[in-house]
Amino acid sequence: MAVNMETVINPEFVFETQELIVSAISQDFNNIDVSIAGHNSFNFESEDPLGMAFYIFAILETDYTSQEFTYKPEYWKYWMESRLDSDIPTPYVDTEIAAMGLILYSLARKQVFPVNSIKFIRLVDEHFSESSGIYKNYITSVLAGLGISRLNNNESLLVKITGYIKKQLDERKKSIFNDSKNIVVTYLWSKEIKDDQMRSSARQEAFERFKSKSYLDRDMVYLAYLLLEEIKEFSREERREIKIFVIESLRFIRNYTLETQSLSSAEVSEHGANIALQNADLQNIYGYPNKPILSRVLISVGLLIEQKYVGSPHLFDGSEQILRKYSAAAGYFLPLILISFLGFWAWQSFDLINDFKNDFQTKEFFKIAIGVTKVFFSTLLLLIGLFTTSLAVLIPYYLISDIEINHKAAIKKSLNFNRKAVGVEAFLAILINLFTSLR
Amino acid sequence: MANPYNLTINWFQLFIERESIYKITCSEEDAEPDNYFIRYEQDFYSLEKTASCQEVGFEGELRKRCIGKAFRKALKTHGFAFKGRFGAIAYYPKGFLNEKYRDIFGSHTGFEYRIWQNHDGEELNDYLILDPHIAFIMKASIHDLSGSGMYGRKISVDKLKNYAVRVAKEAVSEADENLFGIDGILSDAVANPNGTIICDVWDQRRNKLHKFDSKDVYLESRPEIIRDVVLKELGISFDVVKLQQERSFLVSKTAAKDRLLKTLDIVNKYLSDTAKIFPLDIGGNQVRVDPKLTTIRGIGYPKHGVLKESRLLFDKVDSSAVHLQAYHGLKNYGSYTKDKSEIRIALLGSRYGVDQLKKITSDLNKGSGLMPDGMLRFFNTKLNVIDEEIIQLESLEGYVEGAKALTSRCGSNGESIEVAMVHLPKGTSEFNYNTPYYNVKPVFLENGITSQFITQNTLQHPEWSYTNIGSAMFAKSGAYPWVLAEDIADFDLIMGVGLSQAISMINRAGANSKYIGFANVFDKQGRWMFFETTTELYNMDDPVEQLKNLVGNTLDQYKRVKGQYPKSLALHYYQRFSVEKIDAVNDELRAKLGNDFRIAYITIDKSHPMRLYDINIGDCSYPRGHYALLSEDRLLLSTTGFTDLANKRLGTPQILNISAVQFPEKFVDISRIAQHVLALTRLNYKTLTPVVGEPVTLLFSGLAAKFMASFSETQFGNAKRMLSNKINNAPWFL
Repeated sequence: MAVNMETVINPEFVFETQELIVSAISQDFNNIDVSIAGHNSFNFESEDPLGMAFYIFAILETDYTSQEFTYKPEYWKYWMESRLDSDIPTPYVDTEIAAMGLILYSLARKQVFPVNSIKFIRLVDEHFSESSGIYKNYITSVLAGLGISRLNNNESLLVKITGYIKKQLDERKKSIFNDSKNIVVTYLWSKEIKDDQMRSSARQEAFERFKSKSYLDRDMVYLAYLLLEEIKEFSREERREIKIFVIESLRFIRNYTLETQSLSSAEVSEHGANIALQNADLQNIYGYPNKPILSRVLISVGLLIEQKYVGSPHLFDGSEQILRKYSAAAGYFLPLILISFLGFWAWQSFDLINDFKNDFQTKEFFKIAIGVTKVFFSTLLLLIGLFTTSLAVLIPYYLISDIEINHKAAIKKSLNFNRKAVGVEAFLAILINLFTSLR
Repeated sequence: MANPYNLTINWFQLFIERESIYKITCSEEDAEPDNYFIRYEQDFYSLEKTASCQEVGFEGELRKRCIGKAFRKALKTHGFAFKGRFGAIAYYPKGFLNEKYRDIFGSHTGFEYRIWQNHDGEELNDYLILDPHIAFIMKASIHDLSGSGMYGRKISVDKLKNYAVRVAKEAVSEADENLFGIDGILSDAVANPNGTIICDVWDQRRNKLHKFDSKDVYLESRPEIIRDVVLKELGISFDVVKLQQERSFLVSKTAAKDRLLKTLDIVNKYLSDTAKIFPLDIGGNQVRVDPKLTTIRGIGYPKHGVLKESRLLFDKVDSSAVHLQAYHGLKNYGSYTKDKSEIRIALLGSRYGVDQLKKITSDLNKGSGLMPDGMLRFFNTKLNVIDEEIIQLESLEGYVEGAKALTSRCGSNGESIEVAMVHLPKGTSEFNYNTPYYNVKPVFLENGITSQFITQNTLQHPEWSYTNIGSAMFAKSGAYPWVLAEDIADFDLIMGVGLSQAISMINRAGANSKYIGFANVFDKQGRWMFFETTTELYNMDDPVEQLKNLVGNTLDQYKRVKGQYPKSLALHYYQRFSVEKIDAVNDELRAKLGNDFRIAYITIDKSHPMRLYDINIGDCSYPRGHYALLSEDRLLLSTTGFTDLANKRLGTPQILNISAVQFPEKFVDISRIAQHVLALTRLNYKTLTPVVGEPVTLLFSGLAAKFMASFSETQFGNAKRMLSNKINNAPWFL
């Protein structure tokens, strides 16, 4: 997996990825009917409640706010209450239980509103079997468990769910972890019940797959999420590798979102190299690749990764990289602060302002003209001092904080900052001169 | 979107001015009057007024039968002969399409026809349905082939055993008239000292054995049998199948258009202009034929409609992992079942064959240009070879012994085989059950193992088969490659029924056959749930009792799986449900469910001559998913015509004739039933191509029926035991 560091760590890439994900989610929200019987709510039944629940989880976990999201917690509360109150049987009860479990868990974690629903406990209890969970569906059982764990009066059911999940992992770990989504929910569950062994097992599974490269593109996002969440558990060297992996998964999300959201079916057929096929015979037999539909689970986990990545860049650095980064920062800071010092020293030593005051009092044209020139030079010396001080702070900051790892870019960005701030600096220099002259 | 006025059906409207016909009043002694034209419902009718007759209206079914009789008579006068169960295929025996070997077989131009009545919304109309057909007729009898010999060779009668035969009309009593058709099977042939050969012909319908002189017995005249059994054994190389394909528009890229033009030619140029059969004379009145095809419009009948193509779901949890095409869905999302981390397989074949299987297994795991990243990406799994058996001789016995050796070791090393891969040096004729293909599968099945056969022919271009092989093996391991994204909301359970299937003639002792009824059962999402059979084998063919027993067993099994009985059922069958069958099933449902149930008896027939055309489409094929509503309870649905999903088409699109009887009252519109049928065509795990003609309810039953015919009684018993526990969730017949 070759990664071009010059391009991938461009903040525009991350920002663009974020915009694409947010746009994809908001478009998806907008496509859903938001009015049911006079209530504002999402039409879950005809849509994908679990996919929506993953959106909620991602939005709440990242605290991401955007005007584009028509997200309101009361929609979800209303939906859950109406489903729990309804006596109408639904063939999608397993999906609905999973969705409710995840929403309860997400809302409770952020304490968006208090949740205490005995009806949900009853519903899960009715459909849960200690041997096969909820309809032999591992992920549904775990998500239901996450919801149950946040409710009161849940002890006996929680014990049963915990026992089921542990037994499944003991007996069928290979089969269960064959679906990468299961690794993620197992990880969430292990954190919820504070089972360090299970958490370590999920982490180890994700890391081994990542190291052995035995994963598909679509799995990358789930594995990257878990590795990113657990980044502190890895050595500096491993973090560096994981960082590249996370960037690749963001790239996958970006391309995937582009394909699903931005291109028409015909454009994808023509230009979408990842999914379009050039082989005419293959198209004749297997059909033309229609625009793939957005996977809500995948895009939700994508948002989690992107926000975590933006929020904690320092987590990734290896010792060598840190050393290199701080050395470079010091390399810029020391000479610049020296120049700055020299500037201030010269300004102080030449005391040009006092000279100007003496010259001004002579009332001789020539001497006053010389005095004004001295003021100009005094201001210039101060400006150099301020300017270089600013560079001495900014360049190391950009390099250490990972906003820019390219030196030229860091210098350019610092100079740009100073260019914009030169008026303020000049004003400051004049002000200092004025203050000094009045002393 | 097709313009409804460009949509046509191969119905030619018939116009007749006659308003009455004469019912002859018979005395009890005068059982059959001399000058009657037609007998209908025990009464005799004359076209002319006689001394003792009563004038009745010339209408309804009577009118239809009169036109049919007159048309058939006119064709006969012009030298046409007839074949098929109802004699509905007319062919011209004096004109041959094959220049050579006319003493062995003849291929003749002809057409299949029906006289049909349909209400157009205002009145009942008569139509001539006509579809071009090539008729193959076996000219050489068993005596010619095996007794006297032809072209310097004789074919051993052993090579002809177990094939379907017809018996000359003259040799058959009225009671055994079924043997004119293809219901007879040559079970044995014995040479007498006087040189004659006596054939034992088994009448499948009545389960009776008859003896005939071999001069009166002819092999079924299928092109594959003529080529592979007769001509090949006589040392003649002649591709009869190719001849049929060329003449039946199968190889044409504009097959539907060619067929349409030929149909118009037959009606307008031949029947009207050359032979002048039309106007057709019925007792001095003329029946005129409309030279144009009947159009399918937006009002009245036949009425045009369009169904939506069903999306497929590729993740049990992620409802947004959907796609219209199986190939692209699997490539993007992987399979619906994602917890199948490996499939344990065993290999069977010659040394060369096993090496080839190892290579294909490795390629499937690694992937290829058409299947990037292989089984892992498409099915979230990998193939793990855990055993192999090399056979020395690629004979039937060699394969059977090899399979037994593999199954005897199964589980001894702690790992059980899920799917056996078998290499065959050549393909298997679907008409010959005495082959490894049909005999090895039961050996594996009775030991709880499904099997996948790979022929050498497949290995010539394996890459094109990778995805199909992978999909079939994945399904046979008990996993779901994909399911329907939208539920079939009207039914809890859908049964694809197969009845009156005789189990192996080869492996059974004695002449009497035993019969079985079976069903493939699907749930709301089109997920294949299980394969169910009747409790026991039946000594006599009793389809009503079989169906009743089968439905009862299916309901019980459904309850075991889902925890409750279904409330709403659909039965798919390729034949019409008789009143007796419907009553028997309703009784069974009442006994188990009380009166709280709804059921739709759905007949899906594809062996009819009705064709639909869209003259706006380049090849004139009727678009897939478009239908012609013929009445409130019947429609014709195109499943293999033009579609945006893919370009590939083979031959003229098949049209499904779907009709339904519902109980206790109509609860689903016929167009919704057609929507279900169209959706169920998307679930054939044997292929990833999006254009499949038949719904899996019938397709799977057809596949299962072929293997049932090769099961011995013991194998059936063992397999049933296995089906009920070990592999009840694996479509073993794929």
